[in-house]
Amino acid sequence: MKNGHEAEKKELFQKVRDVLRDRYWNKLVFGARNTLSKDKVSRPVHDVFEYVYSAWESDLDKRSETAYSGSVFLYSVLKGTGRRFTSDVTEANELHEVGKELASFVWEKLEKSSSGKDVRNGDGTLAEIWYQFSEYLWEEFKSVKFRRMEEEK
Amino acid sequence: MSRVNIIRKQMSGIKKICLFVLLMLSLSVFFLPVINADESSIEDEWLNDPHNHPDDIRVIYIKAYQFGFDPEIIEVNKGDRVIFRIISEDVTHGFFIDGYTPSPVDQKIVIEPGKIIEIGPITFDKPGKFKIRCSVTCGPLHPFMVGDIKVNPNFTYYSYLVGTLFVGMLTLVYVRRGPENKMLGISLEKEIDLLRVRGIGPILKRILQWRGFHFAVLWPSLLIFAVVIVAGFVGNPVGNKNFSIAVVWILWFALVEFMILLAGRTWCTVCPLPAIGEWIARRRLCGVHNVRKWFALKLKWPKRLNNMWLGALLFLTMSLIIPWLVTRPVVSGLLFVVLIAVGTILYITHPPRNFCRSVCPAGAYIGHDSNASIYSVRARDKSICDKHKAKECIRGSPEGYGCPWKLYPGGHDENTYCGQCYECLKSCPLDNMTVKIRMIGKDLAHMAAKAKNKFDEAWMGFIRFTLGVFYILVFFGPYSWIRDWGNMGVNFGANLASIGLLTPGVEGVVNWFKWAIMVAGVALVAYPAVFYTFSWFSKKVAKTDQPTKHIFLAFSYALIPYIVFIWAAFAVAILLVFWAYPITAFSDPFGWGWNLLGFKFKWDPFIPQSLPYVLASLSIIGMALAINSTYNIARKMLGGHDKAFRATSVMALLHILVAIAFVWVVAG
Ligand code: SF4
Ligand SMILES: [Cu+2]
Repeated sequence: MKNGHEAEKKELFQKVRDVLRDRYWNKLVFGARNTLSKDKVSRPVHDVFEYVYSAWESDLDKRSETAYSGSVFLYSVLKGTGRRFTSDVTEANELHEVGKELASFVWEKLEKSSSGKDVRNGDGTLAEIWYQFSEYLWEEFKSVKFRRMEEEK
Repeated sequence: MSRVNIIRKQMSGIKKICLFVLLMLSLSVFFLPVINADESSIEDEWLNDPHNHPDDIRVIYIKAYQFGFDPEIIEVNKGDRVIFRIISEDVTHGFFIDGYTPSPVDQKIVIEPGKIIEIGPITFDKPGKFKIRCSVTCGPLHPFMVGDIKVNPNFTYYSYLVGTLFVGMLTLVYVRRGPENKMLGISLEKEIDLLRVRGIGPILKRILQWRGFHFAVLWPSLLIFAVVIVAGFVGNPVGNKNFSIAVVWILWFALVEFMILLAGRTWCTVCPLPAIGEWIARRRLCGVHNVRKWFALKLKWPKRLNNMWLGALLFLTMSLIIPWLVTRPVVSGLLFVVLIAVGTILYITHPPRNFCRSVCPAGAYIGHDSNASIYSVRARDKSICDKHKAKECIRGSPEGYGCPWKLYPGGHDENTYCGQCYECLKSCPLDNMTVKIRMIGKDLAHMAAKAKNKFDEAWMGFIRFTLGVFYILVFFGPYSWIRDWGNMGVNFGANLASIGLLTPGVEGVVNWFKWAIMVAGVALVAYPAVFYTFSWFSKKVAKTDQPTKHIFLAFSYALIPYIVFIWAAFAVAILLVFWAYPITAFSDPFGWGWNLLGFKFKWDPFIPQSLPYVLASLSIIGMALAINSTYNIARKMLGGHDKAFRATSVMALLHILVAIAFVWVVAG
């Protein structure tokens, strides 16, 4: 059980990383004036966590809200890259799909916990996952960026 | 009511006096204070014209009464010089002939009871049909106190008759050549992406995609609506002096007709009725919820009501009481309060726009008719929608709500239920929704092909179509008895105080039922029956084995452009004759003599003599569009050109006949 869960988590982490790398990080503007923070790098994931948490807390419908979270993910990416729309339907589909998966993952975690509060700040499951996630994405981002800078040289 | 001409000819003076004395004696018991000797002598004096007019002058005796003229229809010959000798039977009236008497602002002709007014001589040098109108507010139906004067030979009428036949035939000749997917020579495939038009496009796009847009247009309309309701209850009981009547039943009613043609359901964009409910349910005025929790019960809308029937029947019901509705501010005020209450409550119990889709009578007809509009909200590129999985236009996104009309905007191919809220323009992350301008009637053929059991839409069409013709006859025709029937008697509920106090009487109620049966009978039974018969014939002539029912329902969609043009004709008539009322109402909303904006206009019809031409021309355009639409529908339904053409020629006969009837009503 524990291992299954870990595997699932790892797979999801990678999926999110891939889509962020292809659709988000490479469109973020590097430069002196844009300080890139951990926060910005994992922003879309953060937004989905936030949204799912409040939707779950408000007793909304899981199916429709996790689907909606896909759009939250997509729009977070669009906003982060300074866009209002995308003209690429594949991009929209991909981001939505991954966002949705992420959201169901989070939702299920919430369902398993007894009350929202402890998940969020207390004993840690969700807070912990979020922490791991952002650390992971930050590391990945740095390596991607590093690789890119190498290539550019 | 005495029919003057007959009496004048047939009764000798003595007989008349004897009879009159007898009558007086018997009646005086009841009406002692009302009738006095003066009036009878006035009538005598009126008929015994003392002047010795020159031979070439004709004297015409007219009696004005609430709400008409006796005789209803006057015929003169071109070149006649006429003196009108007029008295009033009841209250003070006015007298105005389209195109012949001076503007009532410069020189108002007033007919007081007990006085004889002589007008003229007027030389009738322009042939045609002209309206005699009352120019002094004389009671609830005053605005529709109309008589006809025909200056023979009525060339206008004859030439429009010929014109109707000619255009009808021409359209048939045109479709005989088998134009595919075209409407009167213009391709139905051509569309203009309005939001990509240079200059205006990007500006419009920004406005429509701006989240504040809806709120920005709603609050002014809500404000106007509030004034409408308040004016309805506390304002001047005389309809044409009251904001609620002047702005809703003249300005709104007319503008909506043009709006339908040019901008589809734009009314629904700014409609205040569901707005409050929508704000409450969304818990937002402009923005999108950060958590999608609604303040609403989210009950399921009954499937049986998920169509146009309720709206259509409410529209018909409103039409049955239209003579009160458009002349009694209180009745209008009450109606609007009920509508906004129901609109608000239903949004909270059954969100989102089920009220607009299935209940609102205005929504029903505007939605139905807007299928003949040149305006449409559509996906820019349908293939993108096909590939797109998330479909935020249905579900909503952080930038916009999912379609509140329960549609899939990406797949739109008709206007019926698209309320033009532009949420899809905001919610689509691919910027794939836009406004497309196209030729009238683009969607009718595929709508008709899908119409297998949509009786609601067909009957909405019949109701709209017959009422359009009927209204022109009732409100701008010479027959005052029809108006009286609908009105439940002359002065029933004439003002605020008498609502409920004054009963219409048995006769009034019986008459109203006659009127209701007549109107509803024509709209719901007679015209559909005729239409069915023609559909059956066209099936025979086309030699197709499609069931008559399908052909009948499908061909009813061809009426939509016709309807829009007939109602546009009605709208033109209202605006040209009554334009002064709504403008003045903004300056003096309650009819209390205010002058807020510093202007006031008196009733002064604007080139009313042009009405027969304008109205007849509009109906001819409608007819041509209907014939061509029938062909497009038939072509899609029956397959080949040959069958389609044969079916069309039968239906064209009906459309031409109706157009001729219309030309008779307005010009004959
Ligand atoms: S309109 Fe936009 S959101 Fe709707 S299906 Fe088409 S592309 Fe997707
Ligand atoms: Cu009058």
